[in-house]
Amino acid sequence: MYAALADTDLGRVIGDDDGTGDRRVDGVDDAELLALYRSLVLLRTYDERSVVYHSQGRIGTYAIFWNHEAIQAGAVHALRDDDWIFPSYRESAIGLLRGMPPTTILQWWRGHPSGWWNPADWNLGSIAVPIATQVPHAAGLAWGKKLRGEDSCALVFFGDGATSEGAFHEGINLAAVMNAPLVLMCNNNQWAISTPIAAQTRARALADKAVGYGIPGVRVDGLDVLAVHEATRDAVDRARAGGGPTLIEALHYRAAPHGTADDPRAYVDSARVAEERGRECVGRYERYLRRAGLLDDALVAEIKDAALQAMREGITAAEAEAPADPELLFANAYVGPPGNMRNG
Amino acid sequence: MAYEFKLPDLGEGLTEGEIGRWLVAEGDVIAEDDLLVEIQTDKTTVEIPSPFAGLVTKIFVAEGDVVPVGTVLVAIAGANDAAGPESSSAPVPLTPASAAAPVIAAPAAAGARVRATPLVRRLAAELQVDLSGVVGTGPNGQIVERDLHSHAAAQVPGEGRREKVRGVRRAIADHLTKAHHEVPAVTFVEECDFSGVDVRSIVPLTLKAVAESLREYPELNARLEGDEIVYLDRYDFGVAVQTPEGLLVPVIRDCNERSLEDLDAELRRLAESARAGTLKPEELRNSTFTVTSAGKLGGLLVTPLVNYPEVGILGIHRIGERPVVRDGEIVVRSVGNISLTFDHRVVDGARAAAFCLDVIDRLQRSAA
Repeated sequence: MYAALADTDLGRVIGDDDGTGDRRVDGVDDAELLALYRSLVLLRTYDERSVVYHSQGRIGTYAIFWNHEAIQAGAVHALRDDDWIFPSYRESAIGLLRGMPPTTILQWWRGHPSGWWNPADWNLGSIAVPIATQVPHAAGLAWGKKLRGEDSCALVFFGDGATSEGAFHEGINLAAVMNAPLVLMCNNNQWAISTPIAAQTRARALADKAVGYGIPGVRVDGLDVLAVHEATRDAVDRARAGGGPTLIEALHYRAAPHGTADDPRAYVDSARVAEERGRECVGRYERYLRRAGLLDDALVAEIKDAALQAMREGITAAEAEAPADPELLFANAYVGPPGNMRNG
Repeated sequence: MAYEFKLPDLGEGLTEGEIGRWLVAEGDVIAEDDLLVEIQTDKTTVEIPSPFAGLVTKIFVAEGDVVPVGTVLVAIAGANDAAGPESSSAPVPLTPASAAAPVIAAPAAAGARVRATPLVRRLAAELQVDLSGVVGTGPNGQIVERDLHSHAAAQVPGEGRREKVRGVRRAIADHLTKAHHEVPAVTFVEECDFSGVDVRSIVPLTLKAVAESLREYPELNARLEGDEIVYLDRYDFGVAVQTPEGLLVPVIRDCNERSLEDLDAELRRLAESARAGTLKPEELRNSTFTVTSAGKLGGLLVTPLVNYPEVGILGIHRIGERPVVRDGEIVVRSVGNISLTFDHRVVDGARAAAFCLDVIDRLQRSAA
């Protein structure tokens, strides 16, 4: 059974809270360590404010990514700007790490057309709501990079549930066969909405699925931003050097509802959630940086204030935009709209 | 500047919500993000933080009211522009009032401007409808013709006194409707000879007997989920308790591992909490089987409803001295009926009867 798996085989860089086991990642300097922290705080702030905005009716239903920030920031910081990112809805705010304004993403969740971007402007695919459909997109893009002789790569995010989908198989298999420069980042939070991982797979670990595709599979602690970063960097290096795709499984346990329309108390193990919240990834990294002498109260406050200010400006700007014209729903759907669309 | 806060869609396409509890009062000065109100939806309870800073001037909707999404809940005035960029502009509502949203109760705010076209105003005059009491479902809360008709229909005087179903009564109503719709229930009943049994401890004795019998009849300590029967290895029994607010079913955990004294003590504690209204939500959840006993009001027989999603409920009915035949003689014994109401989808009559008889046998053998 999956539950019997010890987490001793998880890659980790951040040690326990007394500092036991702390490491440095080669080639990651102090400035980069702090940049990672800023990204974590920005994502956390975006997520927490979005839940508030939803409850105030200012954005629509929202997929919460609380405590998934280490996976998102750790992975993206290992990329160059010319590398492509393919997010699922869980990584809706990943554009922030490329400098996209919060307004754009807030508008996406408000169902406003200005929430859509041209993927080529940001090297960032659109947010995939259907499960795993972005995996073949990413495989195709990565293969294209190889065919053009460019050394950039693609990284695709998906969840544990996606690994049961046909599109996942097609995408990972094609990327492997074509030796495409692709990093497959599986955010294994052990819940596909209310389906637990044990009802999802008999595999010992999702990373083990890599074996069947003939590519490397790596398993890391999903709450350890540096472990995710290190594993992604190794995978990116391999991809650029012509070594093909890597499957990374970032393991944690979903400690927040699936989304704002979900009440997980009906199915989740609350004791496990409490334990997981106690190890939440932003605080854990903050304590690591304090132990390393890189962070103090003043800097923490400054970084958090800046993130909050960005969100306040973001929601204000989003609400200042003119509401979308409902006609847009139909504008580009038909050359000649059928008669019944004109009724009512 | 004054702001009106409207009930947002707190899920994915919700049309209404119940005002659980107000966390502010009229006259309170609040900061942005202070918690305003607790809203109960079909799925969960959500505390809503205020998007505005300022003075709470008016609360429009009472606790317990069920109102459509888009209803103005509260007005907040005096938020000054220095309060921060987030509160300097009124949010553009995301949720247009839906034509499909049932109009239950939400008169327009007192003194609020009524939005309606001249045509609608004329029609309102003809129908003798006061527009200030009508909920608008058109653009920006405008009152449209259909609102007048639904309002007029709702105003037809009915018979008798009307009282909103809320709180515990509402939860009971929802729960029993579900139980009654989903469970094809059958009741088996048989006599039990309680002579020599300490009837003051009848509920703990029964809980113990039921726990023992369920080991042999696991399909009654179960629930039906989709196309699967889930056999539970917990013996957590609900016990029906009548309170002034209505019937509550607190749960005694691990009945299989407790002594009679322990069962008795826990039963008393839960019954007192139930009557005092201090039960915690978790003390009311996740029972695996239920026992009900109404003492003198237990009747010769009642037909309890299965406590959904459980499979069975065992009833203890009125125990009294009755003439019965023993060894060819008419004798007076202490007798009462024991019933088992069960979900026939999961259990057949013969097995259910055997279980009930097994419980009766254990009770009779407990006689001093």
